Amino acid sequence: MRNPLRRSLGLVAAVVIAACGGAAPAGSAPSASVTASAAPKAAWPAPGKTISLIVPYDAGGAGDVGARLLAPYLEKELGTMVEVVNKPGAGSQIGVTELSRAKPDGYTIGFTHLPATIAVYLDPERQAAFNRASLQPIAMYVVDPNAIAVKGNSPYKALKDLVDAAKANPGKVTLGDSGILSDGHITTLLLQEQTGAKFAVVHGAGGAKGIADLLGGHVQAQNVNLSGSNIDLAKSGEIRLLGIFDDSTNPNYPGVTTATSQGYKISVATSRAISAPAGTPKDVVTILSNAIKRAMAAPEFTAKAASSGLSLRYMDPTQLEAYWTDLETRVKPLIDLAKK
Amino acid sequence: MEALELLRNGFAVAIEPQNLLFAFIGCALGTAVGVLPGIGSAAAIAILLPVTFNLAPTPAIIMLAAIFYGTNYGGTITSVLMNMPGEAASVVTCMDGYEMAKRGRAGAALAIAAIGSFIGGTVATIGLVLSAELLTRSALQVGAPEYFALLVLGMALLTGLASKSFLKSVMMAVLGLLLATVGMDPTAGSPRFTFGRLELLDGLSFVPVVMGLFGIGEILINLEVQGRSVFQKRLGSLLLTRDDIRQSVGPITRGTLVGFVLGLIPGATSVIASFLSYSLETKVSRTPERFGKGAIEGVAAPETANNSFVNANFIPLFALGIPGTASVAMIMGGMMANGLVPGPFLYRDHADFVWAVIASMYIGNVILLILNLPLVGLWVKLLDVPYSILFAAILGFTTLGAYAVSNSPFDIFVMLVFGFLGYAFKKLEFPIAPLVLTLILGPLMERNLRKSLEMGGGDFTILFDRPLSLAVLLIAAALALLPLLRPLWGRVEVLRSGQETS
Repeated sequence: MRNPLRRSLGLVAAVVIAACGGAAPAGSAPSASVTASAAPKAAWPAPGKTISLIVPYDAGGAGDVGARLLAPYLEKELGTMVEVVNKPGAGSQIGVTELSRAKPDGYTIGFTHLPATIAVYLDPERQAAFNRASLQPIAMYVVDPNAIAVKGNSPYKALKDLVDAAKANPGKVTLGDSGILSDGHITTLLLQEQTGAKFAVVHGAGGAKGIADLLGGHVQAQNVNLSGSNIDLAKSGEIRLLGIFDDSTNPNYPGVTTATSQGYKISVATSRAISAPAGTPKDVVTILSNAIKRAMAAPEFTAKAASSGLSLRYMDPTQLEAYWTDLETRVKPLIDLAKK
Repeated sequence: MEALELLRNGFAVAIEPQNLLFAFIGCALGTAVGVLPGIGSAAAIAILLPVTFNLAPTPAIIMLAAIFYGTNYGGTITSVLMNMPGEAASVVTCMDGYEMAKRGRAGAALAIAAIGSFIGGTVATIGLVLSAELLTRSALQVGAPEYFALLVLGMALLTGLASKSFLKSVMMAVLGLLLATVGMDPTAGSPRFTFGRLELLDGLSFVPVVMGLFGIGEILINLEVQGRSVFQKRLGSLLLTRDDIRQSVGPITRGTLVGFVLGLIPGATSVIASFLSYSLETKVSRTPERFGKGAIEGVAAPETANNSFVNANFIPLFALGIPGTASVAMIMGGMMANGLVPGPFLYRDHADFVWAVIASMYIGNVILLILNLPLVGLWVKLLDVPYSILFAAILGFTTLGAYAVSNSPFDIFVMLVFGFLGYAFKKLEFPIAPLVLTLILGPLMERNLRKSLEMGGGDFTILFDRPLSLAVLLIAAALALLPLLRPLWGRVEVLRSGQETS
């Protein structure tokens, strides 16, 4: 009677083991070679002690995939395990709160996307349990500039066309973003402030769903980021970028000029910074930041990052600190504006 | 035909031993994940995603895809045998599946679920072969107003889930809607009913609520019947009777269609597909009173729909790089990491890969059918485990599943609270299904209504200006009003016949 049951459970177990077995060589092989070569002779991290890398978003999102891509190379540099832990929810508020409350020993670090994190702690309605002082910046990983896109057959060819249309019909031209005080919404607010135009702001789910709204003709324009599958959509003429909100143009989008060169001095990106809880020892922060820097420079990693469309941009703790402060000063006045 | 030629090449690649092996691993894992309550395909794919970075892209994606569509096969098993959904999409299967099992027809229920899943999955894959781009473009016509209308239609179909008491069903539906308002306001971002709890900012997690209401609630109910055999162990024949087949043809056809259409629309989930196809069956059936009492249609339709849904979900991904669900988003991540960018150039630039994955879906569905039909007898043997051990194991797995959703201990607490609520509802004969349905549809409805209003500058007419949205709303209104008009219509008939005889 019991035999078939045992067999069936055995089958499940075998399958699980097979899967884990498949994983083991991939993960363990590099770390074996690591201890000998790359890792510096430092007291930190203690070998065998796992570092948790909190991703405050769902598994499978762009931020998560980027983190999982980096983790094995970071393991190689640090000589210990780096585990990606998803703590999704409330537009990253749940995960970042957890990060800020973690023990500041460097074994818990996590992603703090900017400006999302800033919007969470500056918005009084969010009642965030952390603020700028609760977090210690470690390194910038990815800076993904914003752009405004229209459908391929749209009459708008440049930002001016879109702005003029919104001025002619205030509150009628729809412009989508991924939610209140998201990077896209901040772009819209800055554009409205500079030009006096008034858009019908549509807070959608952003990302691919925003693209679906744009291609389906449900919004006239959409705030997008430059990385990922948007590159091919632009190349094929499905979508057209009106302007890039960055200091420089992007080789993936030939012919698309920056907003600044079109007369709108706006620069917004969604940036994936890595931070630790405040109070993490300075030398540990330095070790982590340098390890991230070296991992990001590994040729095998850069090749994978390029094919995933990640726009890598390393910053050390000081540079990131400055970037953060500058962004915070620009976002602060927009908080009240956003609620109107 | 060019597509068929390409598909044939795809099959040549897909049956290479390595690819076949990974399709099999994916199917087996998917089934296991489906059987385990609480652990969904998204979690399984997330765990295996880093592994695939070190595999060749074709077998890697073949495996991830197989986990995704395989999960819905496995989810049925515990729903039918123990009234505990292994997967959220199988919640609705409990209603008639478990009733069939109680009547000694578990074998037939599991067989029709496997066959329906196979048909739904295979037919939906044809969309990938023939015209992924065209289908995606038509599906993109569904914007927020149309989506909202569709959800209103879903609510109108709700009356089909009514139990003995219509009033009780409506009460539960309203309770579900109320619970759905917990969390952050989708547009303004302000917290609602969170009582200062960080964990409630995102609302009540669906999986812990369902695991509690069904899984824990069922265990508590079963504890009352001590010493007696709780579950019906008689499997019954796996062979379907002629009646079974006759009754299932319609539901499987409609289930395939419902799942397919919803699979194309970004943001829908397989739970919605299975619920809507079930509700639709209760509406079109000539014998709606059989539902909830072991009607085979109530198993065939939702199980077909959720598999049709998952395979159709690949269509917008491959055609325009738009992932419809979290699991597909992760598969997209796996593709991107290998330089395979889903979108307009995928079919052109990576034809070998695309066609091998499509072919593997056909092979995978065959593997799942073979894996599931003969294994049914084995699964039933699970019920031979003494209850003290079985219940403890289920409790362990559901707790693990609830925790794993977002690695949060708070969700375990949510599951326990809803477990006791589920027990109370069962004792008081309040139907749980309407609550679960409105809990899923509520947030989507709110989000899409408010998005529609943003699109229309705050004007409600946007819902009626667009032909597709207007048409769906009219159908919903007709469905909702029909039961009210029927007595009137009857009176007219009586009057007319009275006149004729006089």
